[in-house]
Amino acid sequence: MTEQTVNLPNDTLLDIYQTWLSGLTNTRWVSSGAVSAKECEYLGTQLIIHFRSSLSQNSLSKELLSILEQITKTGIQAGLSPTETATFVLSLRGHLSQICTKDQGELAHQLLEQTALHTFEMYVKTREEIINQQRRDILELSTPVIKLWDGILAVPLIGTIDSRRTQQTTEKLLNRIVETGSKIAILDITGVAMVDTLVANHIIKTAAAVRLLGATLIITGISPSIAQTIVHLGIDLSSVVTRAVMADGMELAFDLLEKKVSSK
Amino acid sequence: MNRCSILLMHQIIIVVLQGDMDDHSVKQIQQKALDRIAEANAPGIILDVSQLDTIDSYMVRVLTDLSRMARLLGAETVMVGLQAAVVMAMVEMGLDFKEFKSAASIDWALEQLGVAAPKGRAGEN
Amino acid sequence: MKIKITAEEDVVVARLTARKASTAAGFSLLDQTRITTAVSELARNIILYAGQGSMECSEILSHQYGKGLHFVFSDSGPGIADIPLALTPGYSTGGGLGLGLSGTRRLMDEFTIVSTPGTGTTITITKWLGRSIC
Repeated sequence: MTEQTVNLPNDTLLDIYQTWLSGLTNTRWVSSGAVSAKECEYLGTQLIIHFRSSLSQNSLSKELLSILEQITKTGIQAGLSPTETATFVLSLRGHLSQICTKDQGELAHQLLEQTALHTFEMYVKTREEIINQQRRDILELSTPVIKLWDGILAVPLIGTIDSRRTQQTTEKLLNRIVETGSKIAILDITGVAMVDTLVANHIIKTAAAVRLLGATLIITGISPSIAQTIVHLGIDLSSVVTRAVMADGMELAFDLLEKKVSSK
Repeated sequence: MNRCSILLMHQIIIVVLQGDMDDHSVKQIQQKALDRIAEANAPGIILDVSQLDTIDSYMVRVLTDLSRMARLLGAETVMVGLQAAVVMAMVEMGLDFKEFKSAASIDWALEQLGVAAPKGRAGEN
Repeated sequence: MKIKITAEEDVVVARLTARKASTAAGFSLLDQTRITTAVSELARNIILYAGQGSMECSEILSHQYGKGLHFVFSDSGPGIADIPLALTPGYSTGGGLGLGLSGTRRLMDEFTIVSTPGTGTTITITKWLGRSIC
């Protein structure tokens, strides 16, 4: 986080900061060593300034929300828990009487509670977003689309297929077809444990999408048991070209490619 | 309103479609394209949809109509530039372009129409 | 945000509004396309069958799924007499003057339709940011 110079408020409030901030150093905010004292001071002073302006307008101001976001992100990066992060805000409680006027007292307490809760919620939501992004990154890595030859792409599906991964794979495959102008795509399901209706539907959708792009989809790696399952489930894969073994799929791909190149 | 352009290349008509077409501009484009096909006695027409970030059932019908009209004039249609996201949405909706082929690049489209691509073109494949 | 749908050009406006809203909400490109395709379809239906209507678009929050985008399409047109029929997959899809309702439903996470012949139709669709798509 970049250090910024903050205009220190007038002297009467200076004491508050020192007491409050020194109180903070007893919390994990500083003791964990992940957040520097300077950062705490920056966040703290901003918090107080915007909290006071929020008091006068009786609601959480935009600037206050923005500093809460920063506090949350800092807390997450520092590895603090949601409660520890919210503690940053709650620790203001002991100093409220110094920050606001007497008749603002009740309001200040309410507003502080709101602020702390908001911080807590924001933490949870932000962490979820980070986890989702990580999950997407992992999915991205685990669905490789390989260029087998000029004009032929291959995608090996491994493990249990869930709808998200299948969709990710299809998306990637389609993008690569568009990028490389490939005419054949081989989808190998040798490593797939089980094929059910959902998976089969995804495969059919993938085939349709590939066709729309002017390419052909070949599915390889269909084991005898998968073949049985597909027919038993009544799934119609007649519109899709399939082969039992990857090598046969590749042979077919080259045949088709030759035909496509030489024919009019 | 209608910023679609029509090009002529190697006797093939290329129509570059824009995303903000309404019924009026659609009819305009159809008319223009067919006129150009007739003029050039073109054996093929390429529909470039790379600027379309959405294709709904109306657009499918419009393009299918155009390809049917073109065929009556003796021109085959090939579509180029379908975006991956658009394709996936179309498939989920159940839309399809059954009546004509697609190609991933103009070069490939020209090949499909039986026209040799010019040499030295920046590799699209 | 609410827009009136009274002429063809408004379908384009509806699409652009949906694209902007879905980008701002943080949807992936694929989901943005799904949303704009659904919106385009429903807005066009209003023009084709009711002559005029409106579309409302708003960002909503839920405990389970987080942020979502919510659209309401309403018109006071002739209404749909047989809703189950209109929702059957393959009902006038693609080729003809399709209602495309079943397809639109597949693109979104939530889809509700209320229609009274002679009074009008209201269709609401929702897509959630945090939901895994099939």
